[in-house]
Amino acid sequence: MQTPPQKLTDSAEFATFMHAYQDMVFSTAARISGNDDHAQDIAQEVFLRAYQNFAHLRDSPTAGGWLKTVTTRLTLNHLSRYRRRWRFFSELSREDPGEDELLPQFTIADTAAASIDAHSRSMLVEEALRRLPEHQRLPLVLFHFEDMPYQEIACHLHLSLAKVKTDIQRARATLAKALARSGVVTADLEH
Amino acid sequence: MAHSNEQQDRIHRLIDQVLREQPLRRAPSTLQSRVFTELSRRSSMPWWRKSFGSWPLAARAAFLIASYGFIEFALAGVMWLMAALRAIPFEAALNPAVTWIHAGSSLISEAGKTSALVFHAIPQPWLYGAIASGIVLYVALFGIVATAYRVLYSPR
Repeated sequence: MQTPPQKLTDSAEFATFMHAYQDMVFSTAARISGNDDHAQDIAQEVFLRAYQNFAHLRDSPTAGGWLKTVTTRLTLNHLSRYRRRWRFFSELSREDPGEDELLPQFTIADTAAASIDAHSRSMLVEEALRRLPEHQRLPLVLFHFEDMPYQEIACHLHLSLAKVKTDIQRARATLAKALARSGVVTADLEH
Repeated sequence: MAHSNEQQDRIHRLIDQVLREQPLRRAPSTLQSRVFTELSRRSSMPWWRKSFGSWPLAARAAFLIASYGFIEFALAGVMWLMAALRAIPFEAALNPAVTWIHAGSSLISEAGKTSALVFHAIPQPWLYGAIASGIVLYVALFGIVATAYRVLYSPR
């Protein structure tokens, strides 16, 4: 790690602060954006802003919430700019799984029985998430990771409430099938 | 048949559980050094290249006074220009411009006639071939960009 510059006051404290929150900030940005490079750029911007407000944040019990909110907002802003540029190509030939398809009953696989260790399982889930089409992944992540209600997601993504609910339902179904294929969950076909 | 509510609820609970059990992803080891490098770069920038909010108070005041002066000067300039324009006899002043416009339009008209002659002189199969080639190249370019997007951006 590079030594913080001498001129920066509080730099050691800020390094500790960053160390405590960097995984949370990076995870949030990476899951929302679906792109690690962009997530790193966003995380950098979040911590630069945190440094400007460090006098208030250093002892604040809500620092984590502040960082999470700023990260989510910056990532959504980034995505809306990026989506405007690439929407046509990114949504070209994206097909949702058939809504009418009957799904089996899924249960979470016992990691010991399924011979998947916790790390591999986590990697498989992240990979399955990353492979979801963006219009499904984004509302799903905002709902399940960020605890954002449907209405707020619709507002942020400029979509109708019905579209958000449908996208999230389809995302769950797609994700469940992908996780069943990778052995993270088991599909009981008798149900 | 749409998924039953019960089935939807089951999948909802399952996915919620799986995602909530996900540990945080580890931030890249370079993140901290990137942030400190950027902080260092910003702190070594001269004050006039930083955001207006971080300028010295005197510089901010001087800038505001100078901006006010500039606006006053620009308004006075516009007023002077309008007064000067009112004094100009426009018909006489515009005559050379009208002549130029006529000359320009006849030049464009001649160019159009020449192009039409050239166009009619080209054999029709050549024209259809050129149009077909244009369409094929457009579709190929579109395909290349779409594939490049898929390969370089989408799967990551």
